[in-house]
Amino acid sequence: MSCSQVRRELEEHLAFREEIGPRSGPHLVHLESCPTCREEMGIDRELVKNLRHALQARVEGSALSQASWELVRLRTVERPEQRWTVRALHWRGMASAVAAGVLMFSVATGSATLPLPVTGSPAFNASFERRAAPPGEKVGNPSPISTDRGEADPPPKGGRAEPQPADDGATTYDEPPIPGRVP
Amino acid sequence: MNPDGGSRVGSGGRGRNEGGVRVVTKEPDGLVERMRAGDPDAFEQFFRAYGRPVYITALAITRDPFLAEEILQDCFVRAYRARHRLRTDCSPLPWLHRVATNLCYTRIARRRMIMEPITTLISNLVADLTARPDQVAVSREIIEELQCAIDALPPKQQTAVILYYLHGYSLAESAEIAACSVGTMKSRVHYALKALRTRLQAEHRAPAGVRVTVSEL
Repeated sequence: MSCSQVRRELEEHLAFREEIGPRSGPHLVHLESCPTCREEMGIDRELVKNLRHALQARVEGSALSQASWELVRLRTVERPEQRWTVRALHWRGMASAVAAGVLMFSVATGSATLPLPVTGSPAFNASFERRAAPPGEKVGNPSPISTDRGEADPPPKGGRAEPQPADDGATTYDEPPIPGRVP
Repeated sequence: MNPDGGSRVGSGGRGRNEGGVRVVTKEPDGLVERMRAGDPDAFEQFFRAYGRPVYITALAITRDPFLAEEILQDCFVRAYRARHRLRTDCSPLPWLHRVATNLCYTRIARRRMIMEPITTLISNLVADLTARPDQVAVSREIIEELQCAIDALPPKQQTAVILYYLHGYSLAESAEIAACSVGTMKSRVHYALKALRTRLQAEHRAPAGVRVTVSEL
């Protein structure tokens, strides 16, 4: 029987508190006659013993504070659980915030479309009457907000378009024909 | 997953040993059921019953009493929130230990703690006051070296030696807590001892010359 076999067998006994049974008999006989194995086993035994001391030293003299339970209680039992309505309100608030963000983003990037007048509304009726009325006739506008945005009078027949004031105050003209090119 | 479709928390884990036999102490009768029903006294009993071992585990890993208390509190807050999913057919202690060890290693990794707290000095003083003659022989230097060596162990091996040598759980119980097989737990303890011994020998702290006699075995 080799030293390594003996050590493997007896290490388990030391490490795992296993009973020494009849099958350990030959190992013990070897141990009696082998000083090297005895020394190795001695080191292992001391290691396990010191390990227990070291682990005990880590927790010795310490106890749970009295406040521990109180702190746990405050975080659990004393803290009412949120009802589903409260959670839903939180989600609604978040949804509103997201919607506002999207709106602000689209306005900032200029991609927002202004709302069109709704059929049957005073603004729509005023716009409709204006289109239907003969030229030169004044149509009352019940809405304080002008609705004839972008409605320009048609240019006179056969004549050149009059210069129109642009929004920025500058005057624009029709593009002149390029000389030498057939229209 | 349970047959009823809901996931249950408890001592269950992968690599279950002993053919599914639960070996860790059974929970006090009906405690989890009472907790589920909203009985605040039941939760306090639950805390009193399992707080101490969980705290010991956290303290042994972190070596910081304040951090260990924090971890204990977090652990029980999680248990309270998961009370409707806790198993009633076995002790919740393995699950609590597992949550605590996970929290410990998460916090340690996050804080990158230097594990040399003042508690070591205090415990040494306490040990001086209460030392028995056989304990006096233990070299303080070796113990200090061992503390550093334990800290340097991989988390799984560290947990294994704490469960096995500090709590005194059997291999099967330790395996149940760590959610591994008995063989794996045995292997972790074995490799931990080997690493500790190597480290001590490297530091010339191995108690060479101590010989065991057959009668001592």
